[in-house]
Amino acid sequence: MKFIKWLTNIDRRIIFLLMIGAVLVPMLFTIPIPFEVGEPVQNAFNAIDSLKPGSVIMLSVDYDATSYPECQPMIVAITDHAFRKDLRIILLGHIPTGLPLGQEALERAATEYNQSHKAEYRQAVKHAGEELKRHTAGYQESLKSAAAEFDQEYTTRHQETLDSLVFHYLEEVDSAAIKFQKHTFEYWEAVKYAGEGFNRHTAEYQKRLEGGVREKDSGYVRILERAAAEYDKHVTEYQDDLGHAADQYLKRYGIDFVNLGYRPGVVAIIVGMGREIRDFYRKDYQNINVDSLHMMADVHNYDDIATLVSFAHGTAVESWIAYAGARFGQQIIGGVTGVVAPDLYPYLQSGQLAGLLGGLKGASEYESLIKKKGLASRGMPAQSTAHILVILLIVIGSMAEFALDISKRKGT
Amino acid sequence: MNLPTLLGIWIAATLTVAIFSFLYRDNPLYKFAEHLYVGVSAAYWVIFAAKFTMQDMLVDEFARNWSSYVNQGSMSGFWEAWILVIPTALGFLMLTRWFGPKVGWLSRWPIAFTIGLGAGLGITGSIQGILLPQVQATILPLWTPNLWVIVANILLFVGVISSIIYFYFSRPHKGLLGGVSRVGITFIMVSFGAAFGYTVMSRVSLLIGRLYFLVYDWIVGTVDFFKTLL
Repeated sequence: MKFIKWLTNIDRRIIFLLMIGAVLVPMLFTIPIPFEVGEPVQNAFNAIDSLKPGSVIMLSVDYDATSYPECQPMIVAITDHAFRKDLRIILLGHIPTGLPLGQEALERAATEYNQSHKAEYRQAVKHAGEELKRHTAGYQESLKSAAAEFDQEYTTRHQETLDSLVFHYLEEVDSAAIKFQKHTFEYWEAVKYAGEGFNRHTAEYQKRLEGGVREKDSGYVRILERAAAEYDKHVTEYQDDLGHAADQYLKRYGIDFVNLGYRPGVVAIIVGMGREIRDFYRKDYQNINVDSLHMMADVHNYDDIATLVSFAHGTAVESWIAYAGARFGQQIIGGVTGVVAPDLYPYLQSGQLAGLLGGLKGASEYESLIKKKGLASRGMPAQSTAHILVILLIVIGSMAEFALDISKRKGT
Repeated sequence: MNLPTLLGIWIAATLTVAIFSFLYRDNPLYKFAEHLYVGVSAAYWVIFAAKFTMQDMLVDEFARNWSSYVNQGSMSGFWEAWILVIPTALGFLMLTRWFGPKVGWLSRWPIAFTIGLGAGLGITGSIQGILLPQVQATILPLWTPNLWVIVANILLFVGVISSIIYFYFSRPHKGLLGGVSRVGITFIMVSFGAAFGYTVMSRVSLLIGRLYFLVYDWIVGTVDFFKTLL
């Protein structure tokens, strides 16, 4: 009887210890627990998967550090999926302390994407460099033949200058690639800067070359001018090739994703963005003018946003549904904590939500759909054992209470 | 991992352990971590409010519009600059509560403005975005070729009607009304059970997140860091 009484009033610290054990054991010794993907998560996946490359999705960070373990795996998985599908991402949020978490997820997904495509990108840059060298050689051939006719020694000297300029430029691009692997925006700036420097130097070179020989023979100058025009064309092609390679293999801030930051006033902003995003977000979180961000050029309101995903630990998803969904027909997906998820099922049934990720389980289901084991998938075995413990404690406690009740009745 | 990251992890881990120490009992370590969290969060909010509200939406916006009026003679710039005086004045009126009841009543104006705006947006949003679509989604066919759809639709219909009747308090819950409201409370209890299950999952997830951080980022991370040093 004493034991049964103890069972009905177990010290909470023992329960805490049991719970920590139930979570730690499967975490340290991987226990595979199978699970199936539910319809709400499958629908969310399908909604994003069916978008055309280049479409814009808006991610709203409506949670903060207190919901990190549940919402962060969701935003990581969805950004990863979006980048794989070549979608462009706009990040914003209504909780200032949560926005850095969204930025972290975006940067991590972009870095991972860039790392996984590093070899292809470097190959493309190398190929473009080789092409440029090949064409430069053609240019040098023209110079050589012209020089044979006019002034061999003079032109050879300038060929060497040109060679060193090309070499220096390629070296700068290469070192920028190594230096800014994580910071693609800065990298792009460095490449642009190197390109501008190169163009400036080659223009100066042409000028010097031209000025030097103009006096000697105007026919020679014409050959040089034609060759220079040809050369400029190839440099432009080279820079275009670099741009295409970056478009294909890199995810860069301002081109593939932006963070508009925080603005106060949830409902007013949601309604106002139906007219024009710039009415509220003139600058991004780094104080860069939104109009100067390449990907925002053709994005003005909900008409330009294919899907909106709200990651929330409160009522933000309902605000998006009530204002962006109902007024502007915006497709919405919810990524919410377990506490919030049951409140949103009616919106799934009514079709106001295109999909729903509820808690760690929803996040792990999404991870399984994109075939990437993240924080949620690693946490699910611990989730299951913790639930078994909770069920056991409820059953044992109830049975002990029941037994105690029976014994009391018998005693009376 | 570099040293600053490791230091950050150690600070976070120490604070996590300090918060967890409350599970044993209340103690100064827990109190310190709690106050630190509240203080840092408040400071963060203040900075955000100053930067993204005061500076971006008021000071910069005024300067931008005013310069477009001065430099280009834009009258829309002139009006858009001066209209910002209204929210600024309303903001200052909010502060009159500090100066006693003689002038404190002025703070009711910005409060009235906020409530009016909130109610206007809220009522239309609730009706257009929630009430009507939800009512529409409840009107379902009770006879379809799919048996499971029929069962689901009947359940939904009975659940909605009986739950609404449970919240009808103008007459005593006796007879038919009492029976239907008992069915309603059963549905409500089922929804509470589902919500409880999700809440357990949510809270366990938080524990998983923290323990994962302590084991892998803190302990394993520290060991790995020193391994790389050696």
